[in-house]
Amino acid sequence: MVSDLPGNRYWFCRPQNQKEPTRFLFVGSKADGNDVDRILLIFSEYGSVEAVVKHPSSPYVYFVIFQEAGHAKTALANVGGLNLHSHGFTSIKYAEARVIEDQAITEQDTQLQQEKTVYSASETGIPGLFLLYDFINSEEEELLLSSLDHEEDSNSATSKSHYPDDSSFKRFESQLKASESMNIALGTWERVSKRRVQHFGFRFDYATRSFSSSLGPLPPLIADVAEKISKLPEVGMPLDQVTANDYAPGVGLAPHIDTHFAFTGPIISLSLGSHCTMELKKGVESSSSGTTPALESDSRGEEGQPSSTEVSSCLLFLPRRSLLILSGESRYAWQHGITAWKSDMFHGQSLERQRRVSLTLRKVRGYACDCDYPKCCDSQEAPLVPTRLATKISTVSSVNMSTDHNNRAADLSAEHSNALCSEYASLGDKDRNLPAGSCTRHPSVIATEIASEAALKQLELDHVVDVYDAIAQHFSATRFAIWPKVKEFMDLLPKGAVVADVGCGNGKYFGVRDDVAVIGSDRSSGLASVAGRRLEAVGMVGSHFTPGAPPGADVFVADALSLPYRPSSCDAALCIAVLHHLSSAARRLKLLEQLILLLKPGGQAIVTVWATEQEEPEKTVKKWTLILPSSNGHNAEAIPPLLQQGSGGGDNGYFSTSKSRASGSGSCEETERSRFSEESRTEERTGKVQAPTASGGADYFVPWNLPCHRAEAQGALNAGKMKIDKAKGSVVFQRYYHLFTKEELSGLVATMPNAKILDVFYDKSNWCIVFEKTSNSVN
Amino acid sequence: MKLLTHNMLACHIKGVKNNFPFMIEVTKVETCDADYDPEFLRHMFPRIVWPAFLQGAEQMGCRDGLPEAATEEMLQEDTFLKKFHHALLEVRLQEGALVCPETGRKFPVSKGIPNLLLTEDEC
Repeated sequence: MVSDLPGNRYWFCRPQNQKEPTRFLFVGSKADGNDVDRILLIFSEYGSVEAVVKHPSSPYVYFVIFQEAGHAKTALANVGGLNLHSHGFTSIKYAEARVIEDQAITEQDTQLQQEKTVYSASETGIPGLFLLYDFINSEEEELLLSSLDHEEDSNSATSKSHYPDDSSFKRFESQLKASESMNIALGTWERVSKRRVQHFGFRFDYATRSFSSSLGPLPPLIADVAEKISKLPEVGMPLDQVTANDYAPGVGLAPHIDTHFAFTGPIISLSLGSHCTMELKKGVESSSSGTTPALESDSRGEEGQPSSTEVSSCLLFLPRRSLLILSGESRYAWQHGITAWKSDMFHGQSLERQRRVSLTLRKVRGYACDCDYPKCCDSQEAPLVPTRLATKISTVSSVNMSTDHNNRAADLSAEHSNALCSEYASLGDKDRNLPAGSCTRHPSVIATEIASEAALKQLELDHVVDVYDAIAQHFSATRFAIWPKVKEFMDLLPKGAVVADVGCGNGKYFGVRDDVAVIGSDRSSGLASVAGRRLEAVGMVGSHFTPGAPPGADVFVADALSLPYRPSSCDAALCIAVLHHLSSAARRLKLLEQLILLLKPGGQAIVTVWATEQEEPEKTVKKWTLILPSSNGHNAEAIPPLLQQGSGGGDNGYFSTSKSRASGSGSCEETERSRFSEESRTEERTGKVQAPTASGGADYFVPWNLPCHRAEAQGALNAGKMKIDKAKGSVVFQRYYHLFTKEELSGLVATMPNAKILDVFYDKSNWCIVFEKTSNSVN
Repeated sequence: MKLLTHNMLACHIKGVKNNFPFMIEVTKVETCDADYDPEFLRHMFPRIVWPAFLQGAEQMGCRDGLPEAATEEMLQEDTFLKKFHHALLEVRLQEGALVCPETGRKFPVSKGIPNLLLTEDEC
């Protein structure tokens, strides 16, 4: 956040050591309107208050600036703690503030400007790049700018609708609101140092580096612009995600490639209010390697990252009101950034830069990218560069202390955070031309094999465990995004909570909070050892990790169907993208029962699974191999009688929880989730079920392509009988997935007498459920 | 494996009654520095089964300075907290085994990671 204060401009962030008093206090308020006067009155009792500053976009967040840290400490002691709520506050913490310094333009820059600046797309010679002058007129520009400044208020006001409305979450709502506000605020300041942003169409969560729920339709004026742009021949597709970036003069953006799997099609930027100079660089520069944690360094080596020798660059002058289109090679294989200059070169003349608002328009993708630039593609050969580091930057805001202008790596990683959660996309899905049944055995053969529990186990061994063991490194390199809904769940846990992360994969949730102990387990020893490296790396000398982060994290190898957690020992359980790998309803239920067993009474679990309702089925399920419906006989056999009644009936007892929740959710809710619950209610009424099996779901083989040049691919090749995709140069693994319907998931949980469903929701092609072990249950 | 984790584990072999805590067979222990956070320790303390923790600490060779019975009051003492912190989080079993107290079944710990998979007839 940038706030004007007498003499200085500040931006705030979270201090490295939250217990060390500073003279700045972050204050989360419950008040809906302007709370500055009241806050000033309350806090002035404890010392001399220099100013109370409103957060520019969150109506709940204020910063109190004392003259001395001692005063802030007294105020925190008196207004915080037990007195917090009686004062109408949700949170008070120390904050840190930095003065924004002016950056002078150097002679070197001037020379660079003169030599390298070009004024048209054709001069750059970059394929797919277009620059349209005067795309809008000055009246339209004025209207957009004023609307954006206005939109800012209304946008944050609607942020209330993100929160769960279930009564069991009510008590946490205000805390959640405050913590989230702080995260957003911190994310805004930290990640690009000095620019402000707002999002339309899809909300972007800086703390988790991925998109969360849809924000609904674009605001009318922005929708008009998006539509006009989408009709350009250079674009030719609808655009659904818009980010406004507000750059003060002298503020830049480090060169980066927008994450491939997050967005499809061109990236478009409309310059409002001022010109600027864009920097373009070919390929993936290796400059960030120095700041990449050692954890990832070896896998990066294997990836054969493009060398920096191929990099060529240029400077492109972007006039005010111009439209820049990055498509094809310029989008996928060139980095773009904004120079951090206060003036730009225009045909030999230096022009002072003003406040510039860039409207970036994109099309959200939810599946793997298969562009022709595999070396630059995070869905293909290029790893998503900053994994652990990036997570730390966004979740632990202390890293935003490194605010120097040259901190390219931090900016780069933040920009890479323009990523949908990869967990929920079918990554590496490159063998789309392969015929169905390209796995080592034909599905119909498998269908006849699946007759017994032993066969089910074998199926999971062959098509889940062995695959993850084989692809662990490669898989891990693509899985770092912290899913917002999981983070929200974890944010509500008490300090010192013990969290069982069942099917922890590469352990990406270990460090989300450093004041809880995440004890992970995975059936795949390959993944467990990848997760184990996370524990060693923490606190490493010279690493960029927050020293001492996840103090309590640990990992072991175990089968989720027989877990060794001490009964009732855990405050919470995570089971993220695991349950869908189990091959019968009985086995799925058994896993859920294991979660209940390890939870304390009152402890909560979050379980996510892939949904039958994939957001872009033509990119996902239609490319996967449906295991023949007849093969689902095993499901019918293994399902408890209650579950066999089918999801179409609607009046089965086990629907009651989700139904009452749906009806209690009110009619004005506008979230993605409620639209889906509306649909499923309709389904229930009409008895229309799209899924082929009695239990509502469907079984698929989902391919994973492991590039042949990777070391672990050699092992798989030597073992023989692996399918090779010669065109893609990869080994094709098939993973077993059971796609769930909502009723199926909630039905399974509802079968357990000591589980109480708190929330069931859809997000990004997944069904998610939060449930609690009832307090009267005994193990 | 940390003693914190050891405290949250119980032998899961089917039918085993005396399942907690696992005995620890030590081949190699390593000590890694972890950030000392008294608040975290105070929150974690009530979740720890103390006698099991002591037994684990004894076997891992870091029992020294940990009292037979720990009380909430001790959580205000820095000297106690530091010992607790060290044994709970910093001392790690790298190589060895977790041994079921009833059946004597050994679950190997290799490169710091216990393998707690059961055989067919154990589940």
